[in-house]
Amino acid sequence: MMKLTDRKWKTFNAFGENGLFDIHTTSSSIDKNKLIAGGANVVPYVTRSGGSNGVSGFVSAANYEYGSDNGGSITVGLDTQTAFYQPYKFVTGQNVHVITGKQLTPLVIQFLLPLLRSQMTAKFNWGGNGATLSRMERLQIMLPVDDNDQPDYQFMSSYVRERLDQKQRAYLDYAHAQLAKLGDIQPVAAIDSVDWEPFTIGNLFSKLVGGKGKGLVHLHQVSSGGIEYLGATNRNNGVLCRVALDDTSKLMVQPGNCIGFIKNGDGAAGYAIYKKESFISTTDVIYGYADWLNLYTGLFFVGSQDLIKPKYGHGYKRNAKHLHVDRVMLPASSDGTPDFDYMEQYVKNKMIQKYNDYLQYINGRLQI
Amino acid sequence: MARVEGSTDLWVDHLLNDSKIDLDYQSSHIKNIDDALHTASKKLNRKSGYPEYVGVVKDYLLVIEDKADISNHVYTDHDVITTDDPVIVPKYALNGALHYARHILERTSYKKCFAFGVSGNEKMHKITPMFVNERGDYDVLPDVESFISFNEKNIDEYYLKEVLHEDTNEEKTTADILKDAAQLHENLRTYGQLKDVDKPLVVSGILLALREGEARNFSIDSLTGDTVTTDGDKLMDAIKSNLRRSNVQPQTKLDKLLSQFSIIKDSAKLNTKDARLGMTPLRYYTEFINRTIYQDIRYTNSTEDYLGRFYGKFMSYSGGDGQSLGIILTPKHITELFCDLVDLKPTDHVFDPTCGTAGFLIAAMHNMLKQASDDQQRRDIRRNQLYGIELQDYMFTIATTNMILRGDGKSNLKNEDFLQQPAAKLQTETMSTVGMMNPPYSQGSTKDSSQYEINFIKHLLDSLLPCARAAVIVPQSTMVGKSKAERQYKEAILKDHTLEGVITCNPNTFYRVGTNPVIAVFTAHEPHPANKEVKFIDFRNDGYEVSPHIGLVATSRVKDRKQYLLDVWRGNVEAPTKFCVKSTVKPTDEWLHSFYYFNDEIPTDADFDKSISDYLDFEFSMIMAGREYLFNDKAGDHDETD
Repeated sequence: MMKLTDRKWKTFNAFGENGLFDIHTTSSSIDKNKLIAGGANVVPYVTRSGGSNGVSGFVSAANYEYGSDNGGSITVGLDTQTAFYQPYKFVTGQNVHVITGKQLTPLVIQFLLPLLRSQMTAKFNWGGNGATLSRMERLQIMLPVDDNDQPDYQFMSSYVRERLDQKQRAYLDYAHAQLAKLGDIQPVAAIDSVDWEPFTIGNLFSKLVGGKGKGLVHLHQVSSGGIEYLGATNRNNGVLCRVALDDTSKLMVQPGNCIGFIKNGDGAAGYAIYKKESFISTTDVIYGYADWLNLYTGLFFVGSQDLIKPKYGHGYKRNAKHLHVDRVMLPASSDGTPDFDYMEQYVKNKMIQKYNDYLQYINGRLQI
Repeated sequence: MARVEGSTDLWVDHLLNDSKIDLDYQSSHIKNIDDALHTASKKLNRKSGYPEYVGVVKDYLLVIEDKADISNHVYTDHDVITTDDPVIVPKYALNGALHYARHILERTSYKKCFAFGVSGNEKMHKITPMFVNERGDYDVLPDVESFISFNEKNIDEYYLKEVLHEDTNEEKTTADILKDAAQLHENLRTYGQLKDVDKPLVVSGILLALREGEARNFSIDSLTGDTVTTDGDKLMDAIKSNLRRSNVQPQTKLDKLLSQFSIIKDSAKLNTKDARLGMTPLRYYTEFINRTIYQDIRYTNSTEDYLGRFYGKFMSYSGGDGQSLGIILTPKHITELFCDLVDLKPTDHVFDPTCGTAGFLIAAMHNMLKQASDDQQRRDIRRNQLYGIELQDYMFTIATTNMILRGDGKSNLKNEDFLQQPAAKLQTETMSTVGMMNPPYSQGSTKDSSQYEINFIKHLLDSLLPCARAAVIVPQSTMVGKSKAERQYKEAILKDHTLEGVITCNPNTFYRVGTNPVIAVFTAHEPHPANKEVKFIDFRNDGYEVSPHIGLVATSRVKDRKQYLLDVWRGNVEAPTKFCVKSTVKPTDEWLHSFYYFNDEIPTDADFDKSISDYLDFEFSMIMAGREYLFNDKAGDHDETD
């Protein structure tokens, strides 16, 4: 592996007259309520918020009329100090800057991102001291240099390449192992040609229990290790954060292999998740256990049960009583019981398909 | 080569001495520890081995292992610190420390151990404490800057807070005060139906009446709910007598205060017996206040501004909070820090021109009294060395009460508009050698530029004696100087006064108020030298954290962080630029750490790891969502995609 200490490092002006790169304000700057609808939503809409690479959603190509920025650039969020690589043509919301430069290959960009972020978060913050254009133009960064004391873009590229490959290979190995486990695609009947019947949740599950957490105040958040802490969200498989396992929290742990029915909160009320590992959860979720549950039937069940969402909202709350009598459509066998075998194979087929899609994409990449 | 850690050892030795901790260097005079170390070699070959420092504080075992190079700080495998590899253990500080800790714990009767991995030198370093129990389980604790939390005095508190995660005494007091305040607020609302601004006034009035009780001129038992001479009348008489006793002058000031308290006797609700209480609300409050806070204020020499706390708590319930007037009360740890930053002496004259509930004056008074050498000096401090101005009359009343309760004989507080007072007049009147201020925030505008915080600073500096020290806490935007007027004020300040430094504070310092405060320190009436190296410090990590339902609470790191700040501020230690940048300044600069700072550390593999993983995560999730087209371009191709 290449080491960061293999090279000398030197300070450079990032932008401005003697700078290495260019920075300008976004060419589009579209307020969310001014976005034009119509046609397929295929254009990434980049805002200054963090997460999901800065892409807050996809919008119609009609929005190009506001202007756009080209791929192969870095977007920077004013006030939020975010920095992301955008490989594609995109439009943006307000308060986004775009960094371009002829040295900015995708690999060099990946090298620069953490450097830019660390300089920006160290210097700027929300509340009148954000990353404005004039402040950005004063920004300096440290870069590895070659024998002539010039930025060593070759080294940066190779360093990132090595790491990217390593990570992608690790994932490839994982995907191959998964595929081996899943076996081959077994043909099953089409989803619209099987019999569907409503099943009552109270009957499907042998046990329904609420989360046992008493709020994060009583727990200690950790960045790694510990145990998952679940709450009222169906994103990120319900995980809000991780908490330490100690004498207090041990008593709150609940076993996995269950369905979490979300009662409250954040637009997720009415949705469900499948949870494999054991966890600690807020009281906003009720967990259902059944002997037919596994990863595959669990995911199938969630996909179908989530159709119930419109029923729940302000004024009608999901609680133990309501949940008990909720009904979910599932494929049925001839004897009137849910056809778990069908559900399992259906999900396996989908997963095999997805893993293959990704492998195909990655294999294409690695050959370049 | 064998002893490259030499200079690190020396520096650690200084740190230990500063913290008053006595450990043995590469040896141990305690027999059972020494015996245990006979087989403790880090090469795991059962030969003898010694950590850099080992010893005992109270019943805690302390082990320190240091390395000269930060990159040898710790080696982990899947987040676990490796201790079973004879090549790794001798090479890394934290691994070595854990190895020794376990080895000793296993062979002695010690049950609790703090093991430290220290790497680097005075300027760039990491000090990571770990708690290890008798079974060898360890917890890595947040990095520290000194060993001050681990001396005889502090180690139990640190253990309680950081290892057991229990509240220590100090925190309970704050929580108790707030609980009392919440209870009192509830009572004032239920039984008195009082407006928010009146609540602290009623509390202040009752406190003064209770003080009069000490002169046997008032007693709670006299509050019988009589309809002719009401409880309010009796309290007012007691308040009046007490203000006279405190020698409040002139008459106009006395009248002003009394008119503020008049709600006590004017409110029919307060003076009528309440069936639920079996007494008047006034008596009920008086009993409650006597029981909960009066004793504390009078007999514990706390720098806590109880009335300020109460005021803040009362206001936190209502939307009609003083915030619209820019009033934000200063927390105690900031008022105490100010005393240290200006190096307060018992001979100083302290002036706070926007004193609010007198938090700074109380802190300054306590600080000076503690240093005072005799009674005469203590009397002078109380009577002649504290000056305050407050514009809002109800605040002024609370401040006056506060100072009277603290035994400020004459109470040099004025109910005036500071900006209207000529600087020269204030200079001769107060003869102040120290200024402290938390001015009203965000009141300035292009139409009325005099209300900008920066003008308050200028006027304060102009009002002080030559060479006086001044510290102010203001929003960071004040140091930026966005408007033309603000930039002119900044220029004017440097022409006449010297900027010593600016400290960026914890953004949660004023909890619930969205302000990022900074502390600026000046020397008055000495033109700023162009080549002066001003200190800009990033003190956002001050050890205070927001605790839900309570507000800002101190963690065990607070002492460590404050000590470090003061050491750097006084030039006793060199700090990395991450913490302190020294630079010359221009009026047009943003006078902030973030403006002058540049992160000159070389990134680690982990930095890149995280960023690349996040991107791949995004890429993966986009592929799964069927958006492969986003990445269809060949790598490095800059052409448009459509």
